[in-house]
Amino acid sequence: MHPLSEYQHQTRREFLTTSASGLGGAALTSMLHQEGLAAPVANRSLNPLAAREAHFAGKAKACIFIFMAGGPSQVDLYDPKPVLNTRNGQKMPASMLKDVEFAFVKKDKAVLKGSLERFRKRGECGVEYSDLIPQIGSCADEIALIRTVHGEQFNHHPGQLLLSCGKAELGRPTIGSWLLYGLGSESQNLPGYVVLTAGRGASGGSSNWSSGFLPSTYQGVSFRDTGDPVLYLSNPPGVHRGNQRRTLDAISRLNELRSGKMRDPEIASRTAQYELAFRMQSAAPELTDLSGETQATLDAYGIGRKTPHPTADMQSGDTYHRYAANCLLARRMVERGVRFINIVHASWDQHGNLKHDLAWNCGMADQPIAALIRDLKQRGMLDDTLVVWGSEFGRTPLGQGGDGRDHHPFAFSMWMAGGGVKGGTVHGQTDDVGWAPVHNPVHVNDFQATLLHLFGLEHERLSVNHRGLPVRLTNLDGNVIQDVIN
Amino acid sequence: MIARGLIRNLLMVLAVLITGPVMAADVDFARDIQPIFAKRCFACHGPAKRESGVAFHLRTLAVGAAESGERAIVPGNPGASELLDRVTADDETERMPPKGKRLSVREVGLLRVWIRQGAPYAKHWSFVKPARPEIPDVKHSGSVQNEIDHFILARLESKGLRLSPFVDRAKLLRRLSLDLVGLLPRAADVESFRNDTSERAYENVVDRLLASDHFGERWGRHWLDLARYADTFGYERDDVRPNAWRYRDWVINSFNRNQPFDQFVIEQLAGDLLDRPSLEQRIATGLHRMNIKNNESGINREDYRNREMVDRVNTTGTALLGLTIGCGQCHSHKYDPISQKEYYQFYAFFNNVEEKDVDIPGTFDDRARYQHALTAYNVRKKRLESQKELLDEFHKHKSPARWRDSLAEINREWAMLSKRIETAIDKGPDGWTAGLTQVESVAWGLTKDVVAAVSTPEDKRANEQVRLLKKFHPSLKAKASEVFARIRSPAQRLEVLDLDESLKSALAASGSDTKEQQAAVGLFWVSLDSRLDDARQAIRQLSVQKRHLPKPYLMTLTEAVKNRRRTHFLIRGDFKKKGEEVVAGTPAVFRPLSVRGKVPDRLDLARWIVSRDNPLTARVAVNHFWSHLFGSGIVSSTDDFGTQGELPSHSKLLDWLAVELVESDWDRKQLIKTIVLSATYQQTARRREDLKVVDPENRLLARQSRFRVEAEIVRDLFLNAGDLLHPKIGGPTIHPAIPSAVSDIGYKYKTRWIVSSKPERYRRGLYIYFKRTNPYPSLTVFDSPESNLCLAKRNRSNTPLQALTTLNDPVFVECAQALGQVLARQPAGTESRIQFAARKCLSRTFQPEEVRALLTLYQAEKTWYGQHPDEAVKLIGDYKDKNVPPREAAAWVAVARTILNLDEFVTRE
Repeated sequence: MHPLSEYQHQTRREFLTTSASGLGGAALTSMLHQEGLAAPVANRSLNPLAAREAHFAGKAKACIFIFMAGGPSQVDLYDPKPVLNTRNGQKMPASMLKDVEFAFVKKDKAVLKGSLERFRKRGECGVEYSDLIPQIGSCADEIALIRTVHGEQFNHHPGQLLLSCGKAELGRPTIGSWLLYGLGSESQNLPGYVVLTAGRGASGGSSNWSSGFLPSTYQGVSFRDTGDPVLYLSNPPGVHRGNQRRTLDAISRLNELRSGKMRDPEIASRTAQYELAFRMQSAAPELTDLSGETQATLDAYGIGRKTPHPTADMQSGDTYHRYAANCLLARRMVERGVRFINIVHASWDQHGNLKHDLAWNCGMADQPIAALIRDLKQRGMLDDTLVVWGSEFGRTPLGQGGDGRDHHPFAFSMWMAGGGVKGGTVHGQTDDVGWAPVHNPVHVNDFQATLLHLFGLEHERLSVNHRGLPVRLTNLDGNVIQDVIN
Repeated sequence: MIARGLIRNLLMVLAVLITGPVMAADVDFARDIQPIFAKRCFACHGPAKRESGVAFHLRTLAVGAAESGERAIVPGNPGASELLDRVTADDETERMPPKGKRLSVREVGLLRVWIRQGAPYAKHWSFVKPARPEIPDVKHSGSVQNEIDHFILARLESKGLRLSPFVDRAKLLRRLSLDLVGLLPRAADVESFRNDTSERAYENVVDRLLASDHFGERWGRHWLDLARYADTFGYERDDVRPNAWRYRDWVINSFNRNQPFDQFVIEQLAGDLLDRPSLEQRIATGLHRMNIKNNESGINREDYRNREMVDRVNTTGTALLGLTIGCGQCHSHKYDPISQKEYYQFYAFFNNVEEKDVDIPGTFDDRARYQHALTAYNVRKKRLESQKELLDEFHKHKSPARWRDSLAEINREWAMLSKRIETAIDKGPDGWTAGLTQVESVAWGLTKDVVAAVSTPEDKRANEQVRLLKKFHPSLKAKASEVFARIRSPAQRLEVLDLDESLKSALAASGSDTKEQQAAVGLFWVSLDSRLDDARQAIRQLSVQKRHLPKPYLMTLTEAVKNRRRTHFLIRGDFKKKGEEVVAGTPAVFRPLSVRGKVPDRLDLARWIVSRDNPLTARVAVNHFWSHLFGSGIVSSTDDFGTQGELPSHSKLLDWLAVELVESDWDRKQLIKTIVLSATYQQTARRREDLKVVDPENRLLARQSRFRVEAEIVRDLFLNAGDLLHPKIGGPTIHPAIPSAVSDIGYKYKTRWIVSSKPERYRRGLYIYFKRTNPYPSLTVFDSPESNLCLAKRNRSNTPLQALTTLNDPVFVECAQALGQVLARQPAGTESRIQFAARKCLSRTFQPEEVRALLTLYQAEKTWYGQHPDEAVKLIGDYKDKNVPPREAAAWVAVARTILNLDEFVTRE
């Protein structure tokens, strides 16, 4: 569809949904049906998170987005480059460096830096993964690895915005917000979009899970692993569940009486939110209580394991355990209907100390992520749960200092597993030194288009009119990568 | 039965959508016709392409002959216009547009009427200067208070509707109080207003509230949304912006002293260019220092400078002109008549601004505070670094004895050095250099010139060098004592560590230590790693603090004098792809700019924006004011008055208000007063059956609106109800309590969050420190802006997290505790206390059924807390009263917490 007519079409739907309070539910449903998005039961103006049907039948129902902020080094993890190793210490041809910019590397001095990591073929598919991530490698047959992701932002926060929002611009909704907006939430007791961090969050902070110009209903909710999992989830001291119930009963009764006078449906909606909050108060602790998990499961993820001496900057002493717990929590959330879980972890920004810190990070991430994929598969959940590994960019094949690499947005690796993804595949090929794509380049917007597609959403149709223009996750671009879809 | 209901609903929906036949007077080219062309035709028949020789973006082309010889539009003759045949064709191969849905019956009707009218290509309504409209007549003039009501009622009467009755006086005062000052009216004021039957009673109250200093806080905050005000710079580092709050206070004061709106705008855009600008006028230019700024290392400065300029342009466009001018950054605006070149001409006004941090004259306190904090910081830093240094030495030498040995060795070297300097001093300027090696010279911190002089044999020194050495000689004394000071015994070295005496002496000297001491030394050695970690951590923390030191300067803008930049058109908005050079200018669709000097500057721009001839500024401004008093603007797209924006619900009223504002010399308080004195404002917000279908969104204003108050006001009302609110106006930001899980989120630099002391911490929500990457959660949960971009309209969401916040956030719980205490201290009588709470919080009394529900709660809680006295004490917290039994006090907290969590409490209705 031409963007202009898409826009008109969208505006009408916006009109219909936003003015839904005045329309009969059935009339609304019939209108939405024509538009290709249906609210089968509930009225969206009363419950903006009511589950909605997708544009077409997609396999994925939930997404666990493993966001390795900082820029993990793809040439040391996912994209083996023997030629880079043989050309270690040599300069890049000046012509290749002409139009590129780096955050720190000085062009005139920069030399190629080979990888110290060993790669080997994994799984039946035989895709190569580095020895730093043997466990993830062992899941190779589930994974579609894309080696040619590229963007144009070479600083952290803008790069993170590109990945989360489709454009390096603040104020736009993030991926999870779009999924919630497009599909609603399946969970009656938990937020539909959750963010988990262990230790250090991403440098972009809350803009990485913002709903932008969409209402905060669609915003990511930070689940915390210390104190209340959700902010202010616990009752105040001296208030027990019975007290809270009685207070809510009184609130509900008084709201109802006021509603009888003012006849404003917003009042009932407020009461409903209080009831949801009350349910969340028991559902969230139940979620984070891991006592029902078998020891085998806990061990598989690495719950309780020790963190090696944290010389990597800013790591606390239990990061390994916390990261494992977050991966397990993500599975428990999917089981409970949470739509989008963002596991955010920063510290992949190795301008120096690459050898040690990358190994340390992989030690943290490899086991729990692999356990998550296996666990989902074993429980039959991998078919409709999409697992993504990604970052705002990768790292230069050029060295920085003796033991570091700079930001590299021109070609880096991301992967997907489950949720309708074709496992055991590699998509895209970079040149001999891993500098740029030579075959099947995938822009970040293409990746996003593919992600939405797996959920049955057409990225060009999922748009909202903002300040006179249709805004969508994939900005003005985006092509679905059919090769990685089953 | 159900089916019949559905069909009826559907028919009503269609009736609303189609709204009957198109009336001739209804058709406006820019509003109705151009969007159809833009959305459905331009792709093939517009500026970019002219398929089959047909195009609609220029009238001459649209009415000319196509390749086929047919004419798409024959003005005045719809029957002869090929366009109408094609859009209504049944044959799909004939029909236009070829893709997507058919044009609607209404769209075709609009085209037909417009062609019949002669197909004029007229300007969009908002690009034409508003003229004072005639006041329409109304039938039911009895319900009219002022001109506003004529406009509203005339439209209602045309649909067979009337205004709603006035809301009752108590609720009216609550509404007015929330709208004008954002605080609850005092129960006593409600009472006296109810009893004041004089004609001027309401006007007096309005005047009183407009004169309150809280008015500036309430309305200043609305402006701060547009100004993207925040206390940090944003992006990865998100550093503190020192004294950002001074701009915030300037805005508050401007509202309070009722500064004319045109001056308000001029000073913010170009205060620095005024004749001998005052400090206040320079603070006002802080508006365009509020943009996000990337201080991340390794960025391309030019790239981010460009982004900042773009933000300044877009903010100016959105906040003052209601234009989505930002579209022009990458391409000519698709719908509004702003070309990409014109965008960069607008950009040129800002392209030579310089960020200037100026000292605050006469604010000795600030400077002293900064110096004091800096000194304290340096002392602490030095101490921490010596700690780390010492621990590193321990680590290196692996045992106390070896450490002492190495220290003795170092001390010997320092002593030798010190001795040699002293010898040099004794020898005098001519002889002191004998035997000094070059290495030593460097070690002593001698400058190059001195070293050169020293290395030259005495008899060969130039006069210059001799003089230099003479001059330098006295400083050797300082050097000697400095070196001497480095000689420190183990005991002295250990002082930085805060160890207990016995351990210290065991570490300092060997031989006589006891078994206990040896054990302590062993333990100490084991703890080295964690002590080192702690010290490193503390140093990092301290570096955070440095960024928060109260720097005594103000962020302002000035105009560059030297090295002025030329402005270029940027191809597709890319800062690296420069197109032709452009000069500062305003879009051609508007009246031309008048220029004072040789080149147009920001002051010319500011004056152009607030000139009486600017068609947008006054309309956009009154629309903002209106939206805060009715929950929605007359133009509901407050940020877009362009062709893609919504149409005004009452265009004549909008123009009338705009003209009033300009002719009152931009008197903001007068405008607000006129609006709130209208009958339209004073109506009840109760929903009406008869409006459900004809006006579900309350665009016609046959009633007032109900809506949840903004994030900051939710907090203010809670504090207000608990009698906790500290009413101080202005000043540095505050930090109410937050869980450490929140303050720890900051990325490189943890959010420094030292909870403000009492009563500062009970100040209003707009004073809370706003960190862009980690904002105060109880504000953002209620849709406070993220403050990264100009925001003209807040969302109003309703989520479970909001319920958790007002029920459980300790800041809000404290308000319930405080209100509970107030209630418990009222004269005896459970029911009368409950009614007291109703009057205090809701400005009304409860109905019997409501009282019953709260009585039931009170009794149940009293019984339960009677059985659980420990829990009662916990719930009461710091708000106990020795005269009130805990079970009763706790039950009152429960009642208070319930009332504060009612929909009605946080709703302006």
